[in-house]
Amino acid sequence: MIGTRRNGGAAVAEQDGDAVTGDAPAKPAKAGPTLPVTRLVLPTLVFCLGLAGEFILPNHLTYAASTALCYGLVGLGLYLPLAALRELPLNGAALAGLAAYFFAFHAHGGQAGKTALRVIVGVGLCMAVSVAGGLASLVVTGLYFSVASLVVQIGIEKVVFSMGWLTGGASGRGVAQPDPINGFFTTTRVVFLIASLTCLAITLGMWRVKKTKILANWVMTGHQPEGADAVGVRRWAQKVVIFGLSGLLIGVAGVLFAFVNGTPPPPPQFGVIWSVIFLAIPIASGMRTASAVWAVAAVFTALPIVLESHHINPNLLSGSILLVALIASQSQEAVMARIRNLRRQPEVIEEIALKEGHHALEELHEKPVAATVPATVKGEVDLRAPKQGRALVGTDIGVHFGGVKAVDGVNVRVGPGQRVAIVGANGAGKTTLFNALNGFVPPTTGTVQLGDLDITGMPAYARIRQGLGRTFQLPRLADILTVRQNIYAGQAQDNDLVARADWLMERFGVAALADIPIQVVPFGTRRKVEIVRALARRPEVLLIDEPVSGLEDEEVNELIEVMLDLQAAEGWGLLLIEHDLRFVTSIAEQMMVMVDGKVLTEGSINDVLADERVRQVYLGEVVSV
Amino acid sequence: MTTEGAGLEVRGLKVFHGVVPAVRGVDLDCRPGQILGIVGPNGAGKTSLLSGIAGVKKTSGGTVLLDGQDISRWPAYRRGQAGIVMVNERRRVFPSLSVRENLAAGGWGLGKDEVEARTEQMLDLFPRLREREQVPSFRLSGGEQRMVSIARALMTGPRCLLLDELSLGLAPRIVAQLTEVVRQLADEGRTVVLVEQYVGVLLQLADNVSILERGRVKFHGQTHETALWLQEHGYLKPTDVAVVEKNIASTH
Repeated sequence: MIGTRRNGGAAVAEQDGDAVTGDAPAKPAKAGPTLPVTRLVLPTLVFCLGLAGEFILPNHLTYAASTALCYGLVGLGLYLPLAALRELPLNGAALAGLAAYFFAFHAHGGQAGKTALRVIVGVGLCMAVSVAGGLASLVVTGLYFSVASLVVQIGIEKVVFSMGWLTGGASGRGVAQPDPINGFFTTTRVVFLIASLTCLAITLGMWRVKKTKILANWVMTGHQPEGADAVGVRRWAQKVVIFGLSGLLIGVAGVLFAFVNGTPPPPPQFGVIWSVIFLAIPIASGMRTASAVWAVAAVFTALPIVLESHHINPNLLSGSILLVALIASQSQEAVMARIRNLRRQPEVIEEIALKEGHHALEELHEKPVAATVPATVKGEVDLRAPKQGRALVGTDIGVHFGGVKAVDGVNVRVGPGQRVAIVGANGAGKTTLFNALNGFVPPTTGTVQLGDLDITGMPAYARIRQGLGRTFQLPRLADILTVRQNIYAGQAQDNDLVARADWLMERFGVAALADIPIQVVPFGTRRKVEIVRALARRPEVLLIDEPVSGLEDEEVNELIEVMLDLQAAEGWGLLLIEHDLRFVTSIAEQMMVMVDGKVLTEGSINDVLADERVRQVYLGEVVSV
Repeated sequence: MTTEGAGLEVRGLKVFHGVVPAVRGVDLDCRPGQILGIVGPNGAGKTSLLSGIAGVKKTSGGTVLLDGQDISRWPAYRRGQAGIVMVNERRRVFPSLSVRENLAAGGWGLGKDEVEARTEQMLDLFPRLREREQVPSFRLSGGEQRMVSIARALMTGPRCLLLDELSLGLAPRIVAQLTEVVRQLADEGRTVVLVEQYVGVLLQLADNVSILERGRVKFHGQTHETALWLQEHGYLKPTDVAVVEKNIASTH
């Protein structure tokens, strides 16, 4: 409310239209991150070293470097679930060992022509175990996932790696090395080349992924599971892909481990301690870029090998490196700020702020919300073409937690074009009812139907795909993604939806914020972002939970205006929970009052508010509607 | 009654969001027994300001004085011991602990009997919580969790209470009760700083109001002055002002 006055009116809207939309639809010039050349420096350097290494590097250095590359691959493999899903797998070493031993087992004494098959066996097994872990992480998350993966690590270590026939016993099992081609391709050089090619492929792959919405889907899956459901993302599929890729990288590294030595390393090399060290690589890299992971891996592995001849304990050295790297990555921002002495240079701050889009926050208060944003893209697609609507019907819904009946036999119906509000004291079961309708909580009794379709047993993401929209009391948005990424997430490459999302961002006045990370967006505004995200999918029924708490009075008025306008044009059904009676009375036609999991009364707004019981249980004494 | 320098005094406070300034030099004064209201648009730096005072967020300049003592360099826990307690707009409860245990955690440092007594007081204040005192907090609804976090903050009887979004997610009846409680706390001689989006509640409660915009204080004045200012600048309708004035008259 206290923002710079929004003047409203046609003149301003017109002016705004010029400023924001220009002639083309409001699509900023920015089309995803471009590939920074610096990212390619390291992989290219490694590649060149691989080619020229024989001539310029002494033998032990080449060996150290190729080992470091393998470590880097494992580090990258663990970086994926760590960064995208926030899961800490502690079985990296066992996975690498599996790949190494199974590759060596099949390679032993075999013909050179079957190398591909052996690689596939080794890597495939590694991927399979990794994917199984990924699927398990749907149920077992966080700390428990780490412990479970530790158990897997120790299990593989104790059971599989103790099989002499597989690992080749104490002497190890020899791996057929390729014959040097014209004396040029030695083993280490091959390792170098394979690893650096993988490195290049990963760099390009990451760049590609950053351009698409895959990244947003991954982050959403890991950071905001319910948010991912709310945009219709199949979380299990994302986890399969991430853990599959992770297994692939670790598997390749494992095979290379076996290859570089001519025999797989002995089992202690794939012990639990190494799992921890492998995991430390991505963590110490600061989790920013793939190149950093390689650099840390190189320091971790090559340095001790190089310095071994100087009688410095390698473990002590790696330990010290880890410690320093961890401290540095923990306070990265502060360290960088101090290095650049940012706090004393306002103009530098301004520059960064500009680059990171923080000024958009201020613009938010300067720019009036576009009263009229054209609803078509260049006259082609009508962005608010209604989807044919179905009614959401919940019959006799009950949700019991242990002995507590949070929701007890509630019937609710929202038809197309209807606007229904649910009010009630705190703890009356409103949000639980939402969760049951939406699939986040399985109802103990009752059925949920969308039109003729029974969706009672459907998972949440499927219901969203069927046409439910949902927002949450505490917005389920991924902090590290931008507003735009959060809204686009889960939409695949559907241009119609993207255009609609852009249009809705304009409509709800969050377009200025599109490219800034959610963590700097004020709490109240996040709710609007969530509403845009839900509406972008053309829901048939929209469920919104406390949409205006944290919004200013004037923003509330705007929200009412925009929602009513959209709803009239598009005809979706609206079910909302809200305590702000001004919002409820302006937006809803029907009202339902819940008390202790049951419906106290329902009907038109005025009838319900006039009810003496409602006054007692909900409104209290002070009422001015 | 109020001696010079008592209460909370903030001078030129600066708080950064990463490298970007969120609070750019704010002065505030709040004497014991007073309620200072803070309003402003989303992103004006209200929450950052409170976090800076409570020490939860690192400040980059300015001083915070509590009863004349400079606490700017104190860590958050020490400010907490000194009696500054902040209620966050987000619900921070210990999810696996029951309501009663959460409250007991808030009374850390008090004697056992006192914790008991205070807990009872809080449960009287929030009858809804009494009904659910043994329920683990993650089972509570959003609004109930909010009640727990407010009640927990009140457990130690803080000298200086920083409330971020009091009415957020609470039923009107509860908000009405809470405003009475806050008024009472102030009357007991505590310093209360209240950030609130809902101007109705704010004008009804606060003695003085600061309007924050872009990290700076844009207007500061007594409540009726603020109401007039808001009306002048078109944020409040004359009818609203009449209601507010009636409310002010009835509470003060």
